[in-house]
Amino acid sequence: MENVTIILVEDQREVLQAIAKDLEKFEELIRIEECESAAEAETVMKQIVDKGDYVAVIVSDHVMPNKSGVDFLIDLNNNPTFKRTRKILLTALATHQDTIQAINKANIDLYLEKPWKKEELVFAVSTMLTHYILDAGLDYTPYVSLLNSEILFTRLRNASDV
Amino acid sequence: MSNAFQTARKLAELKTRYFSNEKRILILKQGDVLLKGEEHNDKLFLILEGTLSCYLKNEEDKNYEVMKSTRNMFLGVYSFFSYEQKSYLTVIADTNVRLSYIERSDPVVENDMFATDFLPVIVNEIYLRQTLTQQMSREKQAAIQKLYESEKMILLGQLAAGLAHELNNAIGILERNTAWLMETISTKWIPENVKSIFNTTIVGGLSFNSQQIRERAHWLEEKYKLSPKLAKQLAKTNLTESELREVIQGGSKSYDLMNDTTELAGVLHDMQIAAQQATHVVKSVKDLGANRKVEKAEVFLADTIQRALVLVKSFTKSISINLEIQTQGKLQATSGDWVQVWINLIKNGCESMLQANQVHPKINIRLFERDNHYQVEITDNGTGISPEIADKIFQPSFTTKVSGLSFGLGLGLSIVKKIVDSYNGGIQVKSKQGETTFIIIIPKN
Repeated sequence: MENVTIILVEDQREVLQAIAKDLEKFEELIRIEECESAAEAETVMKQIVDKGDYVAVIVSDHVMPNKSGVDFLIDLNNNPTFKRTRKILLTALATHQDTIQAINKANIDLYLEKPWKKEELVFAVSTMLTHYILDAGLDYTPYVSLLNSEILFTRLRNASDV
Repeated sequence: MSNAFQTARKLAELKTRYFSNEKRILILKQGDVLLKGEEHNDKLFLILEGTLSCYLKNEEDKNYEVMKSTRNMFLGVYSFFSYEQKSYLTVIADTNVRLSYIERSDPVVENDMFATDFLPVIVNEIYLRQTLTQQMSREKQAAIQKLYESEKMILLGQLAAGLAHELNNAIGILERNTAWLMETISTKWIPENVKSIFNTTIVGGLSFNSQQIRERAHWLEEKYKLSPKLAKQLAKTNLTESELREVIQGGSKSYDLMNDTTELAGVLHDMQIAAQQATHVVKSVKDLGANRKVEKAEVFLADTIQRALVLVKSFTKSISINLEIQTQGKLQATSGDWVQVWINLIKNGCESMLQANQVHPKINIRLFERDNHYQVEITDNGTGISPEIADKIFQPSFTTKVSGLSFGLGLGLSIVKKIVDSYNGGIQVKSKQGETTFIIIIPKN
């Protein structure tokens, strides 16, 4: 089975741990890579792609030293390799301008506010993962327990209608 | 010929013709009353030397100043020329004053030429008074505006202090209970064989960064053929390689216990860090909103800078801050004053850099000591301050901010200057493109 990965980017270690803990159940079947900066995430993602594996979902903080989350996601959006990767911005502090940029230029899929709720985050990641697996044409059956069944059902039905 | 010149010449003529009688000279000392409101006056005074203030009464029967009269200005104009012959102003000498005067009964007043001589000069006098009152009203307007701004800030400070108080209680509970949980779990629930790893994790947290954890996990995965999830869990613990080997050889029971222990300790550690951070922020806000009349105490200047950095953390996150503390100097001061000074200066620098879209925004803060003073230098690599505005930046309500939401904690640099002045210190700014330094000098007590 191929390796599917979720990338978490958050500069504050305690917060990174807390996000990872909430998403623990995904680790039964897929990998979660925890990164403390955008640069680290970029390196890790390159390694994943080089091995022929998949980056399905990115959950990134916005306000970080050196490179902000929005800038990181904008670069990613311009990179054809990660065109399908689903992007979630998880932030406590974004100005109006940042938010506009995130939507218009980074093409983010979801915007979550800190402090987040576990169910909300898990639901978001699960939904994004479902979309990615179908978009990438992967076999979804091994992952069913992690996926958003409603989305999965709707998309499969629509696909068979065509 | 200019109007001013004409008036001056006319006045000079009047002086020689009407106000040069040696017997008609009046000398007042500072505080003496020349005219009283609503009382009879039949003299017209010309001020030869000194300054006097003119007052009106308000509804509460209190005097308030309406204008100041100085050399070459007239007093008693209204009472002298009106039918009433009563002064509507009370006039008191601000300094020692020398006046010359004429009386209504003086023969000169009967002179045919009197009206022609006086008309332009008196019209000029009235015009002058009007200008003076307009200027005063403008100043008053500005003062009211300033008062309004500072009241807003006081209100904000009080709100912040109230909020800090409320939060303190909530955070206090979290912090105390976290400490209690740590203690209880450690003594009652953690088996002896993992107690030391529990206790060190509680104190130090997880000591590896995400990069190191990834490398350790990779190594465990390869070497012991562990699942990625388990490998990562073990990689996060603070165990050394040989300790890890022991745990893995002990089988699944052994690493379940190890994982549970380190995870629990890690979470407790993070909770404590978060509570401490919150306490620190709240304390700093409280200091800031503290009553300015509080008694001064010994304050470490370095502490005030640290505390300011905590408060500005949210907008300095993307900026690299370099702090150089070269002295542990103390000062008799209200710490909130200095926290506020640093906040304003740091925030100012940040805003200027962000506005300039500086790619690598940097702020350098240096605190050091000289024989008689402490010195703080705050340098940013923003746009710099152009010479045209350099002398205006310490004025209230001066701003170059173009747009955007900005939550000010004070009136910016004018507040900074006011506080620095109150400690007999000095502030100056040196700026060129890409480097602006604020230098603050604080005399030792």
